[in-house]
Amino acid sequence: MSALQQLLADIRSLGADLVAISPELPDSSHVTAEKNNLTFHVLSDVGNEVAKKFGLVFQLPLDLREVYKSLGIDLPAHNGDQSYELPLPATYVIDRGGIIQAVFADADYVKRMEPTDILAALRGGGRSEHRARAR
Amino acid sequence: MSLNEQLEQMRQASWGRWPAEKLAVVIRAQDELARSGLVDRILGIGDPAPDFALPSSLGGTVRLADLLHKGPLVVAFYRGHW
Repeated sequence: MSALQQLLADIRSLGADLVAISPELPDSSHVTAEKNNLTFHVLSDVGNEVAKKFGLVFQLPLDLREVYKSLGIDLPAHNGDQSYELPLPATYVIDRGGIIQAVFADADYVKRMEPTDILAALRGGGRSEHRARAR
Repeated sequence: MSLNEQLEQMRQASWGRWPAEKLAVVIRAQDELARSGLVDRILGIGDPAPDFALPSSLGGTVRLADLLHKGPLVVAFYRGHW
């Protein structure tokens, strides 16, 4: 999130904008935005309704739910439901016509689209697609 | 250092603090997700982005169509800040 904030000025200098979407309740999204001093929209997609339309949603296996609980991560409290559903972390670049021009998604939750690739896609410097399955 | 190199360093640091049995669960779940084929089914290049209207941390409701009216848009889906 802070990496995106650092990129915001470059994104806007290209006439574009940035939003982030998570399944967290609005209160949690506010906390995220404040903690990271985010000046772009952090949107609350409660129930993952939008993420589902992009095909990104999966359900956490039971054993991983227990691990998260033991680490003090209370997903039902953050997200306001018992679904234990999350979106794949994914970055999309969408043109003015509403057509997807670049996508980065990875089953590895740590991986993100490189800032240089985001800016290249906004400059129209080639459509880039990254869909990684294995680590 | 690239963003992903930085993120990988952070992963190694946090995984180093986790008990082995918890780490094994995390890695197994990630491998299952990778094998599930989910990333092959998500929307991709050339697909129209579905419109949405969602509440924002900056207040109010934000609609995709309104944002696109002003210019191209980067949309970052993330799991949450926890």
